[in-house]
Amino acid sequence: MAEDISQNLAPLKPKARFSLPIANVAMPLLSIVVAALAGAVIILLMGYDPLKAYAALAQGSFGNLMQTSETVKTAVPLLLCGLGIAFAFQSGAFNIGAVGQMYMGGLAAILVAGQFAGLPGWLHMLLATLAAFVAGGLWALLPAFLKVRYASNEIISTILLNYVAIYLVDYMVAGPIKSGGYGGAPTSWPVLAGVMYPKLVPQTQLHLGLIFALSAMVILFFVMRYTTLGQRVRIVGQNRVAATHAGIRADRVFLLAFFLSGSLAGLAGAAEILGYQARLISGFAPSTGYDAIAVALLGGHAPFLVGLSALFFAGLQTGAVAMEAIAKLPAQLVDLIRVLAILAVLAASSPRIVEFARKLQGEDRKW
Amino acid sequence: MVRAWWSRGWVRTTAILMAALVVFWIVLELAGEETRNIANGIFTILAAPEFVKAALIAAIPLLLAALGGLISELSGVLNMALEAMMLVGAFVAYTVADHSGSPWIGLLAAGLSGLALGLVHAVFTVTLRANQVVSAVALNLFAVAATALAFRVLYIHKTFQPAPGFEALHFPVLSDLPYLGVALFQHNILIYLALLLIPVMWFILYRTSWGLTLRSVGEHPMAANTVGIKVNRVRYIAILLSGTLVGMSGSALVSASGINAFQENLSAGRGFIAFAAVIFGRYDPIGAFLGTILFGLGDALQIRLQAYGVEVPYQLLLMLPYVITLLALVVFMRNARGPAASGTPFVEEGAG
Amino acid sequence: MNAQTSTLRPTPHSETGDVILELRNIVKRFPGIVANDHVSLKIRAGEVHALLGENGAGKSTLMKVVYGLYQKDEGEVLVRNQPAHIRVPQDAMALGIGMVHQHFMLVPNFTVIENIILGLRTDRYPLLDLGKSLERIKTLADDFGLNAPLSAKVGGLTVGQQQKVEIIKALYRGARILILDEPTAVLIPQEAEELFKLIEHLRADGVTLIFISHKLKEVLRVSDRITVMRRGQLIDTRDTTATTIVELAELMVGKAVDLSVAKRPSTPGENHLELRRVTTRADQGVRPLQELDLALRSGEIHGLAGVDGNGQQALVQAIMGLCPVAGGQVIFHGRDIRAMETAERISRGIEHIPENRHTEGLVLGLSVTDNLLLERFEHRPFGDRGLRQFKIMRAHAATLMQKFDIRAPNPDIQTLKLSGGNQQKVILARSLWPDPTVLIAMQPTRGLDVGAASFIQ
Repeated sequence: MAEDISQNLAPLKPKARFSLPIANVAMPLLSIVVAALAGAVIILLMGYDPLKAYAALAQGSFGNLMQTSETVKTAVPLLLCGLGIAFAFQSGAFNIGAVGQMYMGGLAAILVAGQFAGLPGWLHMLLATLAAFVAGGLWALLPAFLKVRYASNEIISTILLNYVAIYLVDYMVAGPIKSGGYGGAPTSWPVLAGVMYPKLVPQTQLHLGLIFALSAMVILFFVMRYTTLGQRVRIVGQNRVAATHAGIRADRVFLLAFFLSGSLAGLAGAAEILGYQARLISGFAPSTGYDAIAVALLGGHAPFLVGLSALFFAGLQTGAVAMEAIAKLPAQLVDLIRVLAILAVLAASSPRIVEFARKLQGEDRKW
Repeated sequence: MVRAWWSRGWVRTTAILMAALVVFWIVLELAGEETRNIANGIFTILAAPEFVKAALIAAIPLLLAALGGLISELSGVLNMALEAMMLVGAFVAYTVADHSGSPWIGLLAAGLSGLALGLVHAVFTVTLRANQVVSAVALNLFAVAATALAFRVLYIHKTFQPAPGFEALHFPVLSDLPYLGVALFQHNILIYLALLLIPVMWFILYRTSWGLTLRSVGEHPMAANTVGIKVNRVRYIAILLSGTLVGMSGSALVSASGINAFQENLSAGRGFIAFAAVIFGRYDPIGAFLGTILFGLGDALQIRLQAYGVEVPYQLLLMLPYVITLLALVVFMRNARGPAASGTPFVEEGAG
Repeated sequence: MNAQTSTLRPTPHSETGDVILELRNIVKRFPGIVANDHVSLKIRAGEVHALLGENGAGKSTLMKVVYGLYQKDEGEVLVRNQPAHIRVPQDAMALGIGMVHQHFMLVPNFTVIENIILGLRTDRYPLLDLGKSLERIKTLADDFGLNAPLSAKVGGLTVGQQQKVEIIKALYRGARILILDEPTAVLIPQEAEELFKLIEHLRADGVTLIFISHKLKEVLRVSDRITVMRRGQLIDTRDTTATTIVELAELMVGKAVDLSVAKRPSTPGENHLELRRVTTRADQGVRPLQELDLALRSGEIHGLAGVDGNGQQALVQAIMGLCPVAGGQVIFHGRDIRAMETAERISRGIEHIPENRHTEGLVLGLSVTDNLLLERFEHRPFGDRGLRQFKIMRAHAATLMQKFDIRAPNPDIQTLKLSGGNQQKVILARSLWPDPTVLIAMQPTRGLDVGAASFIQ
């Protein structure tokens, strides 16, 4: 229909949507530089050498192949949670319950992976992963349901559920599923032999979870870009009322988005347990779910950029270990620098700064 | 008007308590041992004046935080950074009281630290118009890291010592009353000041034009702007006041610990419970008070059950306040209506 | 600021006939457009001065500059022959300028009094116990026939009452020059009539009124002089007695306009849609339907009169399936469709044009293409096995843009970058091209100028 007209139109660049390098790329980078400078000042004030500290950070995060693989491994749960948060955000919901969803995922994974010894390894692994996926999703579905049915504020209910999940894991590893005779933090029974994710590259920490995370990233990109489902999510996210008027069941879309968001966080829990920790430890990922908010934000909720930003925050995390070991910085100082990065990212993505960046680019013509 | 609120408030509280009791019964049934004995024990616990006393002590930090949160919420800015302000306030209150020897200076410093965090939150949410929730999440992470770092730097090589705290008061006659004396009249000054703040805030919010201005900015910032109210300035002031109060709640938290001590992550999510109390207290100081009392009762009961040696794992008891808060949210949020412009930044027309 | 003067007696400054407000070469630019292009205007004390023009002509912008809501880029404002520096509304109020906005600036869950004194220092400041201030408010309320208790929540008042509250609010703040921005847009005819009487009353009290409108008849009815604006420029000022409706229309549009509407006689056929004793539940601010009967026949235009909030919203919701129907039946082609989902109703040919295009009609952040297909992007050929068919969608959008004269550089532009009229045409195109059996249009001409409105008819 009307082919002639469409040919008369100016040819459209395929990536018109991403034509804002200043707002999307330059500003986040600048914000990271600012955070690094602020961090340097704090390091200096605390009586350490910032240059040495940052050298250790670089060395520890991407200095050699070993460290890089460590960083990539650390990025896996951050990426999964970050993608989940970004997806929920696209549907207009804020999921700050990734911490709890990830814990429930980890719990479900260990419950399945630590029992049922007779199963074939690959099936067992898959079932444990699936359990984590579903558990995380259901844990997210609860506040979403409360929101739809009772208009409860999902932000506060997800946070409260984070605490519930954390204490539930504490209880489980200290009680019903605790391991016999192990000092230090309470831990659960171990993952059975053969159920752990296989290593992708021998001698590194890279495991199957990375494939899951990368697939999730590609799938999410595809869904949001090319499918009607993605369009439905986007419409609901941008204007719920208009969506309803156009015949879209906004509540269903919201529930689905929250479920998938939680599922991805649950998957992150599985990746931690089955890919690396091999048992559930009390407080096994205290801030991953919160850091993932910054990951999603820095990535502008666009899947591939979320991938990059997950790598960045993972680098901060692995580099922190080196900063502590080589430059002798206290671990909490390194945490503080990570928070500065989050604040800087938040500032860079704020409307005021984005408008400013667009103005620099001369992007506000009205038709 | 006040009376209507009171009566509704009591109805609400009773219902919440019933729900809490049901939850307890379920937990006890699950534990399954000597249920009758335990029930007797619980009754003894509940009947003791120390129970009410402990509940009040546990509720006061939350009350201060909730009142602080309320100011910010009414102006249209979500303050989920209550947790951060409370934690930093607690650390500062402890440290400064420890070094200066005066809990009053500690209280003041705690207020100032909350104010500083409030300033950061205001810059992000009002000036930059950044997402109010993310700003708070970042501040919360900051608070955990910063207090842990500072605590380690200042106290790692010292032996632990409690800081000087507020002395319990003794009123003639009143403090010696049976039951009520212990329950209500042997507290420290901070607790009475906090309780006094409830009517004071109620009066300011609903009986003065300052309160009217504050609420108008949260309800309809455009309307406020057209009558010459500087929306963003009012919001700044609200967040700074909010931060100051919440910072002071940290001081109450330290003194509620009984030994005037600080430990890492002392607030443990209480800021979020205070935030929830504002919501199911229907954005009203009295409602917020009832909400925090509910938490105080739960907390006091939880500690007593642990001490009593109930066969319920302590992790599940720790979980209880959050579960109760969540239930309360579900039950009482239904018709709760927050400020209409809550969470949305204000952009002056034609400013660009 | 202090509002102490206790009556509406004309102040010595405003001798009737003198120029009380003068604008000299006002320029106001927004990104991409010049909203006011060197506008100069003199308002005389005590007159009712109408500002006439199509939507987007720059009337409201000009007055928002006067009221201090916008900052002018160039030009001068003189009040009582003194240069005035109006940066914020308070400056305007101090000079005796008040404004009643098209969308009322009232806080719905504040009382009448609270709204009136908001932002002021009253008698017993900072207490809300008003003392003497209350007396003055009462006098004003009685004087202007506000038939509502002062302690009532504004959200519960009728639109006409709310407008009176706005006017009283401005007068209480000492307004001697009162700007009314499209005051009749939200009123039913009786209420408008009452407003015109009120305007007479105000003029008798010596208040200068600036009346912004795009309705020719009412402008001729109430004003002493009429200034016409078009595309940011001031075209001309006429004495009301010396002009005609045709002349004004031409000044407004810039070309000769045929104001008569040609209607084909319709031949109503069978019943398409029938509502039988439909009752809905009251839901946040939407007035419910009570046992409503209605039958729509093919080929017929069924006009529903009534003011906002008298059930039209509930009616649309009931027909579109946006809210549950508590009682009665909704019959479409002989079948009760109460249980049918909105999406299916749409695909079976019930379309609607929502009342508010920004909140209900459009997703402003998405492209024109996306909005044109908001209801059908999942249907073939636009969505095929869950995949979006971009080429087909885009070609379809281009066709509709041409057919409905939607002015935008390409179909991929964000809808928020379109003007209000073009946005409305996006909604029209979306609901008209599938050739619906039933079309429910809520205020379809809102935001359209005379030219575009005639297109819809």
